[in-house]
This record gives sequence, structure tokens and C-alpha cells, in this order.
Amino acid sequence: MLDVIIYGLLAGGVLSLVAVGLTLIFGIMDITNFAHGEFMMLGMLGTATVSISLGVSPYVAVLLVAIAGIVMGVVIHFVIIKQTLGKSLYVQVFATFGLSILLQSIATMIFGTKYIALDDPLASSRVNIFGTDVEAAKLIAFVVGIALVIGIWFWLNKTRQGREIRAVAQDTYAARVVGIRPGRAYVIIFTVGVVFAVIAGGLVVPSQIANAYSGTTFTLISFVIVVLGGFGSVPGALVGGLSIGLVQAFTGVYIGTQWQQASIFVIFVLVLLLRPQGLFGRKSGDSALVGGHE
Amino acid sequence: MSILSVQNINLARGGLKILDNLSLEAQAGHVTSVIGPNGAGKTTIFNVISGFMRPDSGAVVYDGRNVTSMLPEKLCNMGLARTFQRVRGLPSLSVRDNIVVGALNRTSSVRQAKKEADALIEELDLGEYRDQSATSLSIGTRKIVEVARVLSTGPNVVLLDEVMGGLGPSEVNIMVEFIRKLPERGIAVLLVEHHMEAVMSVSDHIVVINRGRNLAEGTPTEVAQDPGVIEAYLGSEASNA
Amino acid sequence: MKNRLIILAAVSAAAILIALTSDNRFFIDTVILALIFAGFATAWNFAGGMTGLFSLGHGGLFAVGAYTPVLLREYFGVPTLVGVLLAAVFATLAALLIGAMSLRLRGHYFALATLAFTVIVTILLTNFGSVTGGDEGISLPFANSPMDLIFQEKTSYLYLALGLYIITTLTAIIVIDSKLGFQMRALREDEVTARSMGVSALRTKLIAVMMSGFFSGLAGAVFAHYTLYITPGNTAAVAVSLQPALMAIIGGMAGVFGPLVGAFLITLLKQQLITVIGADIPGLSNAFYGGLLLLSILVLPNGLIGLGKLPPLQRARNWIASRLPPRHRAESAPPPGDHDSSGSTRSTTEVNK
Repeated sequence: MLDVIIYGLLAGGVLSLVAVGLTLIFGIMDITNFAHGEFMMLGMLGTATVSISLGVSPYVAVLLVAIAGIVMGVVIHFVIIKQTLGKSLYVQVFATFGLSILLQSIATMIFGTKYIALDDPLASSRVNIFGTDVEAAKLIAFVVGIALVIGIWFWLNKTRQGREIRAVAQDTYAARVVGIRPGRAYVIIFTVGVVFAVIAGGLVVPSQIANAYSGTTFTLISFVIVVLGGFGSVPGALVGGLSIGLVQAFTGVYIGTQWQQASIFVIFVLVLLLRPQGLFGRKSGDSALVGGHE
Repeated sequence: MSILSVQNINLARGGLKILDNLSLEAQAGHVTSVIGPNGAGKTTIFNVISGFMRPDSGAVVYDGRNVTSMLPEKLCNMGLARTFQRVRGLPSLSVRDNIVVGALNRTSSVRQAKKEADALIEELDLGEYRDQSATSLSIGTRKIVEVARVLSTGPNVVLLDEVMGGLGPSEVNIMVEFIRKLPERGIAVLLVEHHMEAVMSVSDHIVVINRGRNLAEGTPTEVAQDPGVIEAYLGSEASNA
Repeated sequence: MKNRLIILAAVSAAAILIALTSDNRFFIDTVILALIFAGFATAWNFAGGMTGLFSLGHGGLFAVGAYTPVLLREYFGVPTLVGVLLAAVFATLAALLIGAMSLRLRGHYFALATLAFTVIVTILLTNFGSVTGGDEGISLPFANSPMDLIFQEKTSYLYLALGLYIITTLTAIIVIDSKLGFQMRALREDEVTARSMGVSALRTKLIAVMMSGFFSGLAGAVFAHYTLYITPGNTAAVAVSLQPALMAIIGGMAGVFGPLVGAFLITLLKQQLITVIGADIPGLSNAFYGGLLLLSILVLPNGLIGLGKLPPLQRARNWIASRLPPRHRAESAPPPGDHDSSGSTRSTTEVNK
């Protein structure tokens, strides 16, 4: 039982890291990003390839790949995402879906369709947590993942720049009035989201094989976490990610691994129907429905 | 007898009392205005009457039936219709189609609805805007279309929420003339309005509310001379406005 | 209505002409697939385009339609034609789940919930492998048995697909000008206003998704009997779910024939990309597909039919506006307190009490 909890939490830490980027893009930019998992996929394949071809540790490789991720994030933001800001939902869905196909195909062209596995002595060494034997890679991924999520929360809440960005999310118009440029906030948030997903990919690849199609699942799981935690909520993404990790671990052990996915999507639909604002989101008043505010 | 009777409505949100034992009546063939300072609860009482908000207690009685918290669409089917303070309309549909949707409230025949819509467009002199989308109109025309949209549903009671907000002086005159004619159709008009001159000239009866409570009521002249009204109203409004 | 019937007749005549004259199997194949997906996209449009319920869950309905007649025949010996009818009925019932979501959820939330619906269907089909064949799916025996809707001749399938398209589109043509059609549009435009004008949100949305489900199910059934091979991947997957929405958007969601235009374009595009670019470099044709998709959605957010219609209308509008006295002109500045509504579909969670 304890080992299942530990496995679940360890897996959940990385999921939080992927989802926190998606939730910020959602909450601050109001964009539904269907390509999010592809960034993670690129992080997985990129880290594995760099690590193998340069013969360096994946934990060094992931830093190089993350820097490439910054460039990719900025470019994609200006070329594609910026054009969809404020557009209808379907423009966003299909622009990012097109981007997802594009990134997948490019990855196929570069890396092929076969699975890449990575063998790193540090990553595959075992550590003992409360009597449970786990791969070091999983623990590293968990620790780094949680640290980054907490870091971004700290940055958004405790620094001036972070607070300005949150101001944009609350009221674009008012933010502009007091001299905050939403455009800058958007490029920062999108790039942070991309880089986090890339790093998450780099962190899981030492313990998990990957190919060009590994991203889709993570896109879907991230959506689940985002909805569970509430759109735009960083603590929500953290708790949501850990919960989903636990649910997957328990379903895998007690019901069967083939039902891991199904279980989280059933939870997803239930949360959406019963508490659409998520576990951490605030419910908006009914006056907004009628549009009358005295 | 009043066609619409709102009895002792209480409503609180987030610990804040928005409506406090509020009551009012509307008569067929009369214009009844609800006035009060900002935040008095005017739009909220409209939301309660039209079924968009559920009161904590109290009753809305329409045509002898208790209709409290009934669905808005149901209320409209029964003849109780409203406009919105922030003009919504059906943005990308033409003016005519906006009105056709309303006319379909009473008939299943699209042909009949189109005929009625065209008649109403003619009557309100909206012909030149007939095929334009509602969003492409000036604010004044949009407000007229808003009222036309509501009239097309064939109501016995209409709730008009700030239909003069944002209008120029000549447009206000047009709207006042227009509202004056509504009672001739046997309609009970309930009006929420900030434009005091218009309210005074168009109303048969005025209900003054403040902080969700009934403050005073009577004919325009009676209300205008009520010291409590002058204090509450001018006290807060004059200093803000 | 009359114009639309004439267009439908012309489309049918063109398809029949192709069936009678063409002996290019590849071309006929494209036309058949395009017609099946045109039917599917038109079905989606009852909910998506006409009522504004942007569903990403229609893959699930398509899969219900595809698997129902096949499984019923295999396990219970149900005659295929009965099975096809039941497919539509089951898909209609499944669509009620999407309808239930539409009553509580808007915008992003609705899109994601419906997407989850399709994912769940995919997982169910995969995990109950002993019945559904799992990932591998089911191959239908290739035999000439018209009563089972399995034909030797491709042209027979073309007529079948055309039949599917015609009944779906005829229904759309009737609905769009009816009271129901007006009420669906009213809900799409603004739910609160629509309800304040007597449009029942519950009734209208449920009817819309049920029609959508019925014809999606039929399309799935026809698809199964044409490809003779159904898997969770080619019927229920996320990519399939997005397909009809994409086709309707690329073609144009406003009218009746946008989905047809989109279905032909996308089917042709996919086939041509594979033919022209080939499969030598894996991923290259898909990269073009993704890139073109991205480009077209950014350049033509209103679809091709929107492109044909919008500019003249806009010009006419400007011309009229320029001749009006200033006070009648549309205001360029939004009314106060309205600045947040510029992102037209900002999601609203607040729902009916």
C-alpha cells in the first residue's frame, strides 16, 4: 500500500510539471493548447538523443535541450500562438492541433518512429524511500518537478514581475491601463510552459522509453490535471498532478494497468460536471450569467 | 388587479443582503418605474422576476400564478419578457432574424413569424436596418431593436432594464415616445432607468428602492416631493454624478 | 430552401455521374470517403455549427455507429440493415451524454468534456478486446452480400455513401429554415438572450445533439462497411473526433454545404499528399498536412464558404454605413464594461441554477 502511494506520488510530480505550464497558458492567455504534450515528447527525444550522441548524462543533456526549448517557445509563440489570442475556441483548438501534427511529423522525420531507450548509471541506480525500492530517475524527476512548480508559484506570487503577469490574467484592460504590457506576459508564460514540458520530458526519459507519438497521452493527462486543479491555478496543478499519479498507481495495481487511463478520464468527466471550476478554482457569481452588474 | 406582483423578496449573495423584503406591483396598461441609487438592487430584482436568479424567499406572482424561480424561457412563453442592461441580442443574426426568434415564441410557423417580424419592423421604422447584424448598429438603434426583440415575443409584461442608457437626447425622446405607446397594447411595463427626466415623464407609478429595500412609491409628483427619496437619492446620486 | 435543394441535386448528379463514368478506382475511393465524411461533418454541424455546441466527442458516436451493426451481426445474428438502424439509435442515445454535458458546461469546458467522452469510448473498445478485438479491431469478411451492405463493386458503395449524405443534408436543409433552426441559432448566438426570448435551452440542445448523434452513427455504420476494418484508432480516436469539426470549419459552419466542401478538401488533401510526397520520408506528408491545417485555420477562420460570403457583405455594410448620418453609425468603441468580451468565447462556468 505504502509502495503504491510512493510510486503514485513520484509519477505525479512530473505530471504536475507538465500540467503547470498548460494551466498557466490556459489561465493567463486563455488558450487551449492541444500541442502541449508534443513539447514533452520533444523533450524526451531531444534529451535522449543529445545524451546518447554526446555521451553526457541525461541531466546535463536536459539543460541543453531546455535552452533549445526557450528558442522554440518564443518562435512558436510569435508565429502561431499570438495569432490565435482572443480568437474563437475552434481556431485555437485547430491551430494547436495542426501544430501538434506538425511537431509529431517533424519528430518522426528527425528521430524516426522507433522507441528510444536511455541507459544511464545514475538514473538506473536504486534508492530506498521508506522501505520502498525505486529507481533514482523517478526520485530525481519528482524532486526537480516539484521544485520547479513551487518555484513558479513563488515567482508569480512573490515577485513584482510575477504579480504583473497575474494582473494580466485578471484584467487585461486594467493591466494595460497601469502600464503592464500583456504581450510580454504572454510570451513569457507560453515559453515557461514550453520549457517546463520539455524539462519534464527530459526528466522522465531515463526511466521511460519514448517515440514521436509519446506526447498525445500527456496532452490529455495534462488537460485532466488542469481541469481537476482549476484553470490557471498553480497549487491546483500540483495537487492535481499528484492525485492523478496516485489514481493511476492504484488503478494499475488494484484494477489493471489497462484501466489507468480510463479511470482518470472518468474522474475528469465527473469533476467537469460536478465542479467545473476545479478543486481549487473559485466559482463565479450568477450575475455574470445575466450580464447585469449594478 | 396587478398582473405582476412581487412579494417580500429576500436575496443574499456572499453574506451581503442585496434584496431585503422588496415588494412591487405592475398593472396592465401602466408604466411602473423602479428607481434608486446605484447598487440599490434594481437589476437584481429584474433577474429574480425574469427567472435568472433564485431568491432566498418571497414570491413572484404573475397572472395569479406563483412563478418564483421558474425558468426564464418558460416565463417568456407565458408572456413575461425582458431586455438586458448590457445589450446582448443575438449578435451575428440580422435584425429581422432577431425579431423572428421572438415571434416564434407564439407560433410554430416560420412564415407567420416572419410576417409578424416584418410588421413590427415596419411599425418601429427599422426597415433600413432589417438585414444588418445587430452588432453593426449604433447604440441607439440597438436599444430600439432590443425592445423590438422583446415585444416580438408577445408579452403581457415587459421589463425594460436601462433602455435609455447611452442614448443621446434626441434618441431618448424617441424611446420615451415609444415606451408611452406600449401600454396601449395592454402591456404592463416595468422600467429600470437612470434617466430621471424620462422616468418622470413616462411613468404612471414609481417605486423607489434603496439598499434592496422599498423606500417610497407613488405618482411621479408624489415621489418627487418625498423627503426620504430626495435624501437617499440626491444624497448619493448627486454627489457621484 | 429551394436553392439548397438545387445544390443538393447538383451534388448528387455529379456523384452519380462519377459512379457511371469513372473507372479510376483511386478517384472513386476518394469520392466515397469524402461523401461518408461529408455526412459525418454535416451531422456534427447540427450541434457544432448550428447550435454552437463545439463537440470534440463525435468520434465516440462514430465508433458506436461503426461497431454496433458489426457486433450485433456477429454475436446475435441481427440483420445488417436492422443493425445499421440500431447503430443510429444507440449513437443518438450516446449523444444524450454529450447533450447532458452541454447543459452544464460551456466553451473550453464543454470541448474538453466531450473529448474525454471520446477517449473513454476508445479505452472501452480497446480494453474489452474479447468482444471488440481490442487494438487490432475487427475485419469484416470480404464477400459480395448486398443485404449485409458489403459489395463487390466500388460504385455500389458510392451510392450508399451518397444516400447517407443526401438524407443527412436533406434533414439539415429542412431544419435550418424551421422554428427549431432559428432556436438553435439563437442559442448559438447567446444562450441568455435566447432563453429570455422563450427558447428552451434544454429541449433545443438535446434535439440538436440527438440529430447529430443519429447521423454520426449512420456515418459510422457506412464507414465500417466500406473499409471492412474497424479499430478504436480509425473510429473513436481523438484524431477522428476532431475530423468532422475540422471539415465543417474549413468548409464553413454557417450554412448547409460547408461540411461537404471541407470534407472533400481534406480527404483530397490527405490522399494527394500521400500520392505526391510519397511515404519515402516518414512524417513528411503529415507535416505538410499539419502545416496546411495551421495555415488555413489562421488565414480563414470562417471557412471557405465564409470567404465567399463575407467580403461583399462587409462592403455593402460599409457602404450603407457611409451614407448614414453620423449618429446612426456603428460605434467603434465597445460599451463600458464590455472590454473583456472581445475574446469572443471566453469560457463561462457559471451555469443555470
